[in-house]
Amino acid sequence: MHERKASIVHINITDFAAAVAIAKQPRLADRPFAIALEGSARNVIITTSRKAWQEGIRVGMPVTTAQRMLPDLQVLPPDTQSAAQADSAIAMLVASYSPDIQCDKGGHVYLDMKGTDRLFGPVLDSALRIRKDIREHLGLEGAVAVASNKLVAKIGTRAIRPCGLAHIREGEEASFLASQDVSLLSGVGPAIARLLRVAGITQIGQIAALDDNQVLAFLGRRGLALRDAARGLDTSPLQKGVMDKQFIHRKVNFAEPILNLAELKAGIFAAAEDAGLQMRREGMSCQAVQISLFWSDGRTSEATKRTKGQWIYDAEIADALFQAALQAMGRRVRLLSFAFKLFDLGPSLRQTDLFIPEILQKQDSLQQAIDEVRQRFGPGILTHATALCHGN
Amino acid sequence: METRLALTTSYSLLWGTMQPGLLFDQLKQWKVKKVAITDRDNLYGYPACRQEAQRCNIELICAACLTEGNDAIFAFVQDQKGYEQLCLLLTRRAQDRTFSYLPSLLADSEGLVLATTSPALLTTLATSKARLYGAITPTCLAAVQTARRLGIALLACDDALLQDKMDEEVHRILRCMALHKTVGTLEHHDCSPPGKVLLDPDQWNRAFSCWPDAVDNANQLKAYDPFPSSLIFPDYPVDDAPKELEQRVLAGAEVRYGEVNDAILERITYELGIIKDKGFAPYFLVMHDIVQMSSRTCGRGSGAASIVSYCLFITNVDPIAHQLYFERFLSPSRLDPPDIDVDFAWDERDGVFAAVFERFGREHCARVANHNCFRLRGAVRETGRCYGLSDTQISEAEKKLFISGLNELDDPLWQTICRVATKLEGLPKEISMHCGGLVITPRPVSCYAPLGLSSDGYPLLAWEKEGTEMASFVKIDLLGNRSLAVIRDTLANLVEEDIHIDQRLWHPAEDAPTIAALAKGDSMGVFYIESPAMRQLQKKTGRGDFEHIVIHSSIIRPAANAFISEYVERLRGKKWEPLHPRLAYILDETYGILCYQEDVSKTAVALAGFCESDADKLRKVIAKKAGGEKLKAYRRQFFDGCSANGVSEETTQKIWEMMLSFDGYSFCKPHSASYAMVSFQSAYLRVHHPAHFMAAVLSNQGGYYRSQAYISEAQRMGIRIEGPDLNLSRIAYHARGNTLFIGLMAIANLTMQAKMQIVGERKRRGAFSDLKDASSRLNLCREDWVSLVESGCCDSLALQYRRSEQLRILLTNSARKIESDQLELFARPNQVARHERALVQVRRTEDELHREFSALGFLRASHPLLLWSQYLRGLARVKASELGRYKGRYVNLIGYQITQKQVMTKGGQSMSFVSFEDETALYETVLFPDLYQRYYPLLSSLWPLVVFGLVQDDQGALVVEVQHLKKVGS
Repeated sequence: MHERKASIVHINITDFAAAVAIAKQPRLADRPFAIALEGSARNVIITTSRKAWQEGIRVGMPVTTAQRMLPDLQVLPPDTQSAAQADSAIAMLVASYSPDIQCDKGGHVYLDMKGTDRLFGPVLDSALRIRKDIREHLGLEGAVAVASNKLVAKIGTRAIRPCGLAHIREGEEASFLASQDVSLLSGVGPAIARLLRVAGITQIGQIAALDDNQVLAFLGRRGLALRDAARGLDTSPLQKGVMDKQFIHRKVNFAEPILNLAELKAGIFAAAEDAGLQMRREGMSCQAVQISLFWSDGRTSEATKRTKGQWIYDAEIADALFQAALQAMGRRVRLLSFAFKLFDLGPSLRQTDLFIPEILQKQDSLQQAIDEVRQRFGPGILTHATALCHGN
Repeated sequence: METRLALTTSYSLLWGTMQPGLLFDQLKQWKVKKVAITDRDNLYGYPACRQEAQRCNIELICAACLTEGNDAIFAFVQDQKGYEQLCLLLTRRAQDRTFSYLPSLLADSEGLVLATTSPALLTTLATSKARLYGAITPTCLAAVQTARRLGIALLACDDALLQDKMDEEVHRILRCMALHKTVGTLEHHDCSPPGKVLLDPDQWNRAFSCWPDAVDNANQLKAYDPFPSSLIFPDYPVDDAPKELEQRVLAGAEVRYGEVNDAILERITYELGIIKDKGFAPYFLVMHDIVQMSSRTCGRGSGAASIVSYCLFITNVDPIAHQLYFERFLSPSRLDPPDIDVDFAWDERDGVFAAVFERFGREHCARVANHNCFRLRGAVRETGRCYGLSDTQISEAEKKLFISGLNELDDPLWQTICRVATKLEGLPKEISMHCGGLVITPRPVSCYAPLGLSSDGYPLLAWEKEGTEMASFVKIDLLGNRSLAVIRDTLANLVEEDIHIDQRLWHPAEDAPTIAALAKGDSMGVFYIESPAMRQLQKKTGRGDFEHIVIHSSIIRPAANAFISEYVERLRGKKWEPLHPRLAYILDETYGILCYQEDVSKTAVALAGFCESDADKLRKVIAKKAGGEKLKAYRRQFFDGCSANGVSEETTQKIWEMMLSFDGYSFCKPHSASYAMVSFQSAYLRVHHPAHFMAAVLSNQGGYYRSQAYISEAQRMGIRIEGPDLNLSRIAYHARGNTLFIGLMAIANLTMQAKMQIVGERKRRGAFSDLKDASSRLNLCREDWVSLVESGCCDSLALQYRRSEQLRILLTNSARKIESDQLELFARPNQVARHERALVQVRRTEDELHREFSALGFLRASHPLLLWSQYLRGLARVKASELGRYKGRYVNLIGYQITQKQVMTKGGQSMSFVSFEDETALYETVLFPDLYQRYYPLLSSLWPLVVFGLVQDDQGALVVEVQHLKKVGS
C-alpha cells in the first residue's frame, strides 16, 4: 500500500474569538475576559481568554456565575465581523503557500503542502514559517501540526494547544494517538466522553483496540467510524470552500448604529443599485438574494429570498432585499451594518426576448438609460429617492 | 360637561396610558359627574376605576370598547342583563380572538347602549333592536351623515387615550412592547390615530358646542353598578345548609375531641350562629368537600381560629386549646367575607383543582388573575429595548442610574428613556393566573364577570384578588405545601412497617422529645423552622414548646430583626415594661413585642382610638408596602390619636417603628399556630422516625437545603444510608428501620422510563441476581446504564468489579443478549475468567467517587470533603463539632458551603450569613460587609474553604465571625 507522506498542515488558533479580540485590542492580553451573547437572562460563556480560563471560568458557564466568581471579568459580545475578517486574512496569507487549502471557520486552516518542497523547502519549515507569518501579520498565536492526514493533524494541534508545533511522521500516527486523551478525538462530545470515562477508557488507543462487537456495544454504529478515527484513518480530501461560486456581494457599515427602518431601507437601496449595476454590466441576472444583518450586540440574523424567474432591475433587487431584511429583523437592537449577496447568477434572459410586454420594455429602457448615465458620470449620479438619506 | 364617555385607561394593556387614580383626580377637579371607561375588549380596570370613582364622588358607567377590525363599538351597561351580556361577549372574545361581536349584538343587546363612530358598523347595527347612537368625538365626526340618514341620534364621546399630549411617546413605547418592535420600526397603523387627548372643560365645550343633543344624550346614560351588594357564594345542593353544616361539625367534633364538653359545644354553637346569620353555611360545606379531596391539608390565615373549620378538618389547630379568637376570622359587626386559605400537598394541588372544577362544574368555577404591573427597573429595561439598546448597554446605564441617579446619565436618549419609564411604572402590562385563588359561583361565572383562559386552560377571572373581592366573590385559596407531602409520605412509609399513627390521638405538640429537639434547633427538614435563622433563634431561646414556636414562626420576618434580639433578651430574663400600659394585655404573651398582624390593629385601636375597620386597613397598608399618601394619612391619624390619648411622642414613634416592621409578609396568630402544628407534626416524625422522615424530605425536594445537606444531616443523626441500588431503591427515597434508601430519582440523567422499568421489572420477576441478569431483563439505553453505573447503583450486583468493568459487562451483554463469558472487554480471554474474581468489594477510585458525586450531588457513604482529602491532610483545623470549646477564640475550620443568605445593611452594603459544614457538624458564619466584598467570589462555587474566624456566642447560639477565607489547596 502506498504510504501517504506527512504533507498536511493544520493551523489552529486556540480560543479564536478571544485571540481575535486580543489582536484587535492588545490591552486585553493581560486581562481576564470572556465572550458571551447578549440579550438573554441566562447567557453562557462562549469563549474565554487564557487568563479567565486560569481563573476557573469555563465555556458554558452562566455569565452571572462567572462574574460572581471573577468580579473583574470583562464580558464582550461576539464580534463575528472581526472573526470573519481574521478568518479570511488567514486564508489569504496561507494561500501563497499552497493552492490546496481548506479554510474552516473559527481559525482552523488545513493546507496540503504536497509537492511544495522545491518551492518552500521541507513541509515542517513551511509550517513554522506560516505560523510566524500569522503571528507577525495578524497578531494571532496558534498551534501548528504536520501529519499525513487532516484528522491526525487536527488532534496534533489540539494536543499541543494553545501554541507550538507538532510533527507526526508517516507511520507514527497510531503511536501518537494511542496516548492522547479521548476528548481530543472529533466526534467525542460530552455524552460519549462521559460513557468512555465511566467505562475507564481515557486514551484514544483504548478505542483503537476495541473489536467490532465491543465498539457496537459501547458506541453503536457510529462507533466504527470513531474507532477508525482513533486508529488515525482519514482519507478525506481538503474541502475548498465555496470561494469559486459566483455571487455579487456588498456590505454597508453605518456610521453609527441605526434604529430607523427608513435608514436601513435607504442603505439597502443604495447598495442594491450598485450591485445591480455590476450584475447587469456582466450581463447577468440573479434568482436569489441573501441579506445578513449585524446587530450591535454581536448577533447576526439572515434571510434569503428567491424567485422562480430572475431579478435584473434595481427596483426588483432592492425590493427583494428589503423584504428579506424585514424577515430578518424581529430584534429590538440597533443595527451596525448589513451585507448581502446576489447569487444563483445566470445570463440575463430578458433582453433576448423578442416579445417583451410594453411595460417591461419601458422598465428595461429606463434601467438601461440609468445605467448609461451612471457609467458615464459615476454610480451615485442617479439614485432612487429612498436611497438619498443613506450617508447623509 | 357633566359626562365624559369612552375614556381608555392603562387597563387596555400595552395600549392605554391613563392611570385610573390620576385620571379621576383630574376629572374630579373638572367637576365631571359621570364617566364611562371603555377599555379595549375587557373590564380588567373596572374594579380599580370603580374604587377611584367612589373616592372622587363620580358616577361610573360600566362600559367597554368592543373592537371589530379597525373599528370599534362602545358598549355602555344600563342594567344587569346588559352587564351579563357584555361579560359573555368579552368572555367569548378573550377565549377566541377571532370571535366577532356583531352577530351577537344584532341578535340581542338588551341592557346595553351601543355607539360607534364607524358608518359601516352603524349601518349594520341599525338593522337590530339595539339602543344605538352615532358616536361623535373631538377628532371624528364620520358617523354624523350616516346617523342622520338612518335617523339615529348622536352621542358625545371623548374617545380619549392620553391624559396629556406628552403621553403619546408612552403610547408608542407600549405599542413597541406589544408588537416586539422598536420606535424605528413601529408603523403608523400600529398606534392609535393621533390627537386622542383628554380635553379640558373649555376645549370640550368648544368641541361639542355644535352638538347639544349629543351632549344631552350622553348625560342621560345611566350609571349602573353591576357589582352586587351581597356576597357571591357557591350553592350547596341541600335543603337546609345550616342544618347540614351543624351535623357535619358535630360529627367532626366527636372525632376531634372524643367527648364534646360544654365549652366546646358553646363555641360551636356561637360560631354556627354567626355563620348561619351571615348565610355562609354553603361556603363551609363547599370547603369541607374540597378538603376531603386530598390526603392532608393545613388551613392557613385567620380561618384557623374557627372551631367549625377545625371540626370540618379544614384546619388542624384546636382554637380553644390555643386561645385563638374567632372574631379575627368572622365578626357579626364586620361585612367582609370569610377567608379560608388551605394548603394541600404540593403534588396533589393540581388534582384538587381538577376535582373542584369537576365537582362544581367548569362553568361555575374560575381561577383568580394577577395583574402584573411595570416596576421601574423593568420599565427602564423594556423602554431601553424599544430604543434599540442592547442588554449590556442597558445594564451599564442601569447601574449608574440606580446608584448615582439620573444626573449621571447626560445622554438625551437616556433622559427620554427614564422619562417614559417613570410614566410606565405602575401601569398593568399583562394578566397572569394567581397560584391558588379560585371562585365558585351559583350561576355560571361569566354572568358575574368576564373570563379569559389561563395558559393551562382554566377559566380565568378578569380581576385580581382585590377586584374579585370588590365584585363580592368569596375567594378560596388552594395552595401547595411540600411539608404536607413529607408528612403524608412518612406516615405511608411507616404503615409499610406496620407502624400506625392514630391521627386522633396524635398530639405532637405535647411530645417532650420533640419539644426538646426543637429547643436545640434540631429542625433541618422540619416545616417552616428549618432555616439557619430559625434554628439559631431556637437555640438562642432554648424554647421548643408550641406557644413559642407560634411566636417564632411569626416574629422571623425580614423587617423585624431589631425586635428579634430584644425578644430573645426579654425571654432570657431581661426586665421589660410594656411600651404603654394599655398594650400590656395585648402584648404580654409576646414579651411586649408586636408579633402578629392583629397586634398592629389592636395597638392602633388601644392607643390611637382607631375603629376596627380603620385599624385593619392600616395593617393592610403597612403589609402591602403601599407607602405613599395612604400611609402618611394613617401615620397622621395614629400620631394624632396617640397624642389625644396622652401617649408621649417618643413612645408613639417607637410603636410606629415596630408597626412598620410588618411591611412585606407577616402572620396572624391563627395562621402561625396552624403552621406551627405542621412544624410539630414534621418535627415529631423527625425525632421518632428519623430515617422515614428524612427519606420523605429528600423525596419531596424543594426544602431549604439541597439534597447533600439533608444526606449529611441524616448521617449525623445516625441514619444508615444505602443505595442507590438496582435491587433496593424505589423511584423515591424510602426507609426501613434506621436505614434510608436513596431513590433512583437521585440519579442525574436517568430517564423516568428507566426508573419505572427497573421498579416494574423487579416487581414482576424479583430481584436481579447479577449484572448479566439485569442487562438481559432491562431494555435500557446506553446513557441510562452509564447513569446507573456511575452512581454506584449496580455495585451490589458486582462487588468485586470496578464500575468501569460493570459498565463493560452491562453494555456488552445488553448488546448481545446472550450468555457470554466476556467479563473483560479489553483483556484477552485467557486473562480474566468469569466467576474467578473473589467476591471482595473493591475500593472505589478517586475518579469513581468524583463520577458518583456528579451523578448524585453527594457521596453515598462519605462526606463530599473526601473528594478534597488530598488538600485536607495535615491541615491544622478545629472540627465543627468541637466549636463550643472555642468560644471567644480564633479558629481555623474547613467549610463546605450549605447555604448562604445575602442581606443589606441599613447603609445599603451587602453582607452574608453562610452555613458551612465539615465531616462532623453544621456551623453558622457571618461575613460583614468589608469581608463579604472581599470574599464573595469564593462563595460562588462548592469548592471547600478554609474558614478563619472568631467563635462568638450570640445569645446562646454559636456563630463564627469570618476574618479570612481561602480555597483549600490554594
